[in-house]
Amino acid sequence: MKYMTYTETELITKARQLDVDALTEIYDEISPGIYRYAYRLLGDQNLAEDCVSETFSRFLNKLSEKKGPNQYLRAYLYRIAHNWITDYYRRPLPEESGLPEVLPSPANSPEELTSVHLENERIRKHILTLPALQQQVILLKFLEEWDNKEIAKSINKSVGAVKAIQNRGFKKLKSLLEEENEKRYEYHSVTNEELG
Amino acid sequence: MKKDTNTIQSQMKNLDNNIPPRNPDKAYAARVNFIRQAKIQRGNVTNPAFMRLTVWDRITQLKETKLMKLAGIVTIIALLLGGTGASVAAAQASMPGDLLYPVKILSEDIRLDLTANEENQFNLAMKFTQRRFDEIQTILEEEGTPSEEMMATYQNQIKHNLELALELDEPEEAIEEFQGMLQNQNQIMTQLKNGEEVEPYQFQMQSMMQYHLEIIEKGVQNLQMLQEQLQHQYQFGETIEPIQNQQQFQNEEGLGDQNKNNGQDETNGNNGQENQGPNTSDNGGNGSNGSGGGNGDGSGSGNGGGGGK
Repeated sequence: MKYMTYTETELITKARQLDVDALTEIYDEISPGIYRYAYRLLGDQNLAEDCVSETFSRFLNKLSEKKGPNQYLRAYLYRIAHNWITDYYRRPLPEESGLPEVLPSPANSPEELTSVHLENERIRKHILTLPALQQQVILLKFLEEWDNKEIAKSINKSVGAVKAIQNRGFKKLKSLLEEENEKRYEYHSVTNEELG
Repeated sequence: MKKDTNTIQSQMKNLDNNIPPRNPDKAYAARVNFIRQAKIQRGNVTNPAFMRLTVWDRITQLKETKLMKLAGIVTIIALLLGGTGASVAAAQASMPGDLLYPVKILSEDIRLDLTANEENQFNLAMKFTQRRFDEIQTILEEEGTPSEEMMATYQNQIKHNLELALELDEPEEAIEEFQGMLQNQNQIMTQLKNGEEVEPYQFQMQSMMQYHLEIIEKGVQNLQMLQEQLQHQYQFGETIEPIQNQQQFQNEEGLGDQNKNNGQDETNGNNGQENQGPNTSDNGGNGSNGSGGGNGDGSGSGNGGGGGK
């Protein structure tokens, strides 16, 4: 990953000294990606913003305790974000959320909006049923397009393990989607029979 | 396997096409907050006094950023107009699209932020909701078309107002007060479009208003349900039906009794009450004729009645 003014090593060194410029650069470079990552898994703008804030807040706390990463900064931050999201889903009750912030655009028909929305909900739901590591690897690999080495750092595993996790995750996701398609098919045939 | 991988990958990529852009205000506030936290942490190393900064500081920080933003805008406008701080006062009469309009919105925002008492906050929000509606009304009366942004702001204000009502110790009364205001606005909206062709945005706006009236009507007795409804709508975001039903809506105009049947058919078609959006819209059609107003079956009847008066 390339940064604007510093190399990653310089950035990490400066961040560990709590250099505000370096920290701001890290924030500006990485927070948009974390927001996207969180939104994909949470499907909620406010929660995604919370995740970004909390991730960077934890990062700062670690730095001030003289902890934090020595390398692979981005992988480290995504790991914090992912842990926050996992914790969120472990909480007993979902938090109160509001109405959507904008009216739907007239250009998109409700049917279109609904079907895209449902499709996304479906994928999101299935990704979330995967074990946490598989989720993380699949999202980083296919949506963030990271290389296996960086993913390996993000989850503290070897590159070989990343490949294995990725394969397992994919098979699982595929079978979940197929299973659902079959169910849908059965439902439709039953409904059609009933309708005669 | 390769083919499957591509299919699943492209399905996943769809998740990305629907990521809404970040709210710039929130993103900005979060960034400012992070930098401030970073400065505090750095201060920790040399000066332990910084550790005493608390959550309260973070709250005031948010207010400060808004105030700073306001000061910035006012200064620029004052320079442009050769005026002074009176810009804020002058802004209160501004309309969407005016130079001073952002000042008006921002100053309202700050007033709400600076109001500590929850009841006062609710009352202020009521005032602001009415303002947003008045702005739209003015534009409609001048035979203009309100922008989507205006309607979105109005909808947000409704949502915020309702949330503030739910936060009160005794929310019932506040919700009823809010309901009264919204009914009134809905009625004005109905009258505004009487006898004219229904424009898509009017349809959209009325659907939105009636949807809220409906969940409030049900929610007055059951606040838990109202909260859940708000949440449900947020999660599934499909309750406000924009354009698709417009044709149907226009066809129904002036068809009196048939409206009722259509309304019922649709309810049956939807297999129950979950999807209230289209029904609400049908009732809106009834209301505008002044004939089928109270006839909508089930929950929507109260709203239809409001529209038909």
